[in-house]
Amino acid sequence: MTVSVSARTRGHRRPPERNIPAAEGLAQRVHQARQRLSVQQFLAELFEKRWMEPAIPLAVLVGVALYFTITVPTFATSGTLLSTTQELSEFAFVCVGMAVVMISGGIDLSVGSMYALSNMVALLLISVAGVPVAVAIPLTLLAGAVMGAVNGAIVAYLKARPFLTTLVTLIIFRGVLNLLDLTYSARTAESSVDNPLWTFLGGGAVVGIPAAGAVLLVVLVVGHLLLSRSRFGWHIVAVGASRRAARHAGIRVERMLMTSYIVSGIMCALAGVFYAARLNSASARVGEGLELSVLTAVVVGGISLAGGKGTVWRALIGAAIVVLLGKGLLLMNVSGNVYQAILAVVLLLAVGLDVKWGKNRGKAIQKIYVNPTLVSYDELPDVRHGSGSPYEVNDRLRAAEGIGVGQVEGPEDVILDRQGRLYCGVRQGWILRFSGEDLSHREVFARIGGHPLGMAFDADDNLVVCVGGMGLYSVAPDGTVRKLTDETKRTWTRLRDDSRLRLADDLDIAPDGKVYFSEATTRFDMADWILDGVEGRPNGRLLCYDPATGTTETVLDGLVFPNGVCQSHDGESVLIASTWLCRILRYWHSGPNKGRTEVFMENFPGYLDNINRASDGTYWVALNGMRSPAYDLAMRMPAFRRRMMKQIPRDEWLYPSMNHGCVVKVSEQGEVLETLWDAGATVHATITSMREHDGYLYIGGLENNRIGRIKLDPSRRDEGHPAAPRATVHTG
Amino acid sequence: MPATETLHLIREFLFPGRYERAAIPSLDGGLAANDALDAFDTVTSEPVTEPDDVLVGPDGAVRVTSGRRVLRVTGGAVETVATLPGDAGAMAWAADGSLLVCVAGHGLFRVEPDGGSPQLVADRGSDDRPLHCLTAVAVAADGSVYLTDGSTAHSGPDWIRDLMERNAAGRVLRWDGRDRTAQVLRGGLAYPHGVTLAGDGSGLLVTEAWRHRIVRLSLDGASVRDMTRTLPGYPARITPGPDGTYWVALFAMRTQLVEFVLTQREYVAEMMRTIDPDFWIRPALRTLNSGLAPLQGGQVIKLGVLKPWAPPRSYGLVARFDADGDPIESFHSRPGGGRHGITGVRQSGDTLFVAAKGGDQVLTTKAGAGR
Repeated sequence: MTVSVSARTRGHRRPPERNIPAAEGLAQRVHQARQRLSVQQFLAELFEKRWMEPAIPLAVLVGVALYFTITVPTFATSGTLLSTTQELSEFAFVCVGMAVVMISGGIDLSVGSMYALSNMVALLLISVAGVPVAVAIPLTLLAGAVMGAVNGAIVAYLKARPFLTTLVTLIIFRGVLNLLDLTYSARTAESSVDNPLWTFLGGGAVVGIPAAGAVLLVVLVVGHLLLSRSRFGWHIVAVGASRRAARHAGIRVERMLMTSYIVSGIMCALAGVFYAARLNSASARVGEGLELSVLTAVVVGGISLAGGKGTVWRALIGAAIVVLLGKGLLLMNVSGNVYQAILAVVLLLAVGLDVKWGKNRGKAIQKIYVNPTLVSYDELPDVRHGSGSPYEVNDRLRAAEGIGVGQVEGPEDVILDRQGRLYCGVRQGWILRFSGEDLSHREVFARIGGHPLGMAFDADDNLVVCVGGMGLYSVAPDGTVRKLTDETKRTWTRLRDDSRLRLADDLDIAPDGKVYFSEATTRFDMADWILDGVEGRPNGRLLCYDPATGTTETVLDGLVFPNGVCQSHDGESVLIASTWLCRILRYWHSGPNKGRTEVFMENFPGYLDNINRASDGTYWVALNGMRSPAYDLAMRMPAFRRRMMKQIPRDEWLYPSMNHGCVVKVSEQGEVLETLWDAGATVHATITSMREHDGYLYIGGLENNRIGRIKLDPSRRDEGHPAAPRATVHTG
Repeated sequence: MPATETLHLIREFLFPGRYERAAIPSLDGGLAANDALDAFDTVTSEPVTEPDDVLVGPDGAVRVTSGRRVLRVTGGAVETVATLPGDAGAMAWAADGSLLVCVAGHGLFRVEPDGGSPQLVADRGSDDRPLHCLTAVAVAADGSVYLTDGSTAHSGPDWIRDLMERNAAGRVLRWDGRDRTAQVLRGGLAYPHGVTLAGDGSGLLVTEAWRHRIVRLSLDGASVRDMTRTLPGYPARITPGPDGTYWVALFAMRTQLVEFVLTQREYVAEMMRTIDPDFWIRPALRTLNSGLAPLQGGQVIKLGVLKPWAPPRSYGLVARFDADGDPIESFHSRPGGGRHGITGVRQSGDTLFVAAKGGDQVLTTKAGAGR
């Protein structure tokens, strides 16, 4: 009966999940492939990544470098590169200092003056005071630290605004510099330092890298470790992110602020030392306007002006962009004024983007995260009264008696044990047990958390449960809960990490003890199931947990909301219900057909939920809602769904008709045998599961406040209706 | 993704929350939601099939149009007064004491108060277009008859097509009784569904369903201005109430989904082409409780309860507006209630009659009772 083609490969492959039935023509396939790809989804997942934040500045840097390499012939020569590296290193020291201050939530405008003053101090110490170079360098760094401490003390302890404070110290330090310059310019100008260390710092190289570059690397590595891996770094970031929260957490905010400014001072001094060693020039004009370039670099690099965000690498990237830009423009003979103007524009753009991106990134991702795709169904089977269809609406479920009415909230699945006790999971995260006469005695069997969904008993009478939001759990007969698995191997071809189980939905246990279970969607949480429905993409998968080894692996990937999972009567295959595609797949996990996937039944008039074996060699299938023509049409129009999602609130969205579910009995050959409806949605609005036990059928529903029970009439056996013809299925 | 959507996305990114859309006013003030309509008495013990309009005669008996028939209800007993060739709608007493009945697809008929064969008295406008969609009739003190014709594109039962096509093809007419032609006072209205004379006799009040408002029209139709602000529902008939106020029946509520779908022309065209009108995304007079009808997120039955705030596919609402167009009081039947699709409302003495077309009942209450 079931049409299929030979399996070319074995193991893990895409199942025949198609959103368009029988898309055989080339044009249709291309159309569908185009519908499957989604630039938006790619972008959303990309921008969700943390490493995307420095990726944009990095791309800009690469772009700038490429542009000048191509347009300016002298740009990429080794001489230029060497001198660029040296300049970049000096500049990057200052940028790192500024970055630390900005990460702590402040700003340091005095960097230019500190840098120039350090340069002067170093030269004075060496050439005027005659201090040995090896001593003069630490002394210069100390001078930088003192200048930073002045800033820090005023900002941290006197609670002055960093902007104004550092603006004032900018003028003061510059004033001191001018004063020193007036007094000593004649003596610094004529002196020259003859010291191997000094010469090395100014022009030497370590393995081809200028000395300044080598020191910069060390500073960057140490800075990175300090910022990202040490208590000091975390405290700095915490202070920058929220000063009040940091204080409440017991962080010494003042000390941290003070330290960050001292770091900035030392970095400026370091840059000053290298500058002094390179040029031996104690001009008063050194470092004028440097704060603009540094600020531009740091912001372009992606360090937020708001604080609490940034790394030293970003400072380096920003610095490189600004230095390369300057160098390239210089080589292109662009005047310094134009360069300043360009820098200002870049700063403006970067600040604007920083504010907008920082504020709206999450929203922007949210806006483009859900990407509806084309889902096209075959013609909707007529279920109306008098249609003569095997799915014809009737009132048979209306006679169901209620168990635990008002005592259960959302029994997605129901199951009975050997003693005839009834179990169901509820939205409180519990598993309830009903026992006694008429199953009227209710008790909490286990408290797991999450939302327990599909259930099955293993050979040792442990209740194995899929828990939405948590994973696969096992409950022993005495009620103790044990986690079986909550992760699988990550799909490396995907941007998003999908190793954690997000929505384990239903399971069944194979004769060899392996647990086959479905994860309905890897992209959405359980409360957002409708988003997966609106999207209609193959986001789910079939997993297998092997209790012998304790490992979990992905058996089938790319399923469209796989929901119910049911072991076939012969024990060789599992049936998998694909909710949004309204079809059942069959996957052979053993036997001669092992590894093959095919469509078992399709074009149901509703959305499939759980599947269970019936006592007579057939299967029970729950339809949690009906397909409405309006929703079918919307599924064919992805752009319509996307606009709907964006423009109106969720309570107003067009939903699948979840208020009208039914139970369908199908044969091993895929024929519809009978259908049980609750036509007016009087008591069982949604039907997500059913379980046959001892001549009764028990009915559970995700949104219901009861479990239904209806006595099955053993004499009733409708004529088998042939199922709709099935499409040929390709595997691999 | 179309360019306009990309632009919207960028704008939304730069200025979140500034993206504006036509808003549906909320049910507050005089329109605050309640379940009063569900507590009204019924005029008859048996349901009346789709009552469209209700009118009280000088004899005190209630006339109701239901399907093709005009019924007379006296003390719970129902008798058929007249049978018409099409669906009977609005009614009014003519100056000569006969009953004027609007009939979908035909025009205006005169029925003698005690029955007898109905007589077609007006069937086309002065613009030579037929009166296929007469929605309301009102008689002035001087005996002239004012009519509203909902649409020249569709006749009465097809009103939903007129909404989906976003037509504004309705007319207000005056019939002077001389021949079968009525003079068009104003055209281009978006489904005028009710007309009454303003209390001061200075003009007409006309409900414009697809524009969700009541307009004030001069007697010659030359000037038109809004009487109410935008309403949360689609207004049907308007009739005089006590002290210069007006009763307005609102036959369905607007929902954000319908407002949205109306802007999606491609979807609407495909929906109208391929789907049974009962299962369209649309406002309706009654809720079918069928899985084939579209469902909205808020309408999902949770733990056996349909939320009263669920987006209404059908709704029952009668409201009283003062002369300035502000709502004073209202009676509702919310989702889950059954008295939906109110098309007619009429006050006689201190008794209020309401025709719930979607609820198959004619309701009544004494003024002041249950308010």
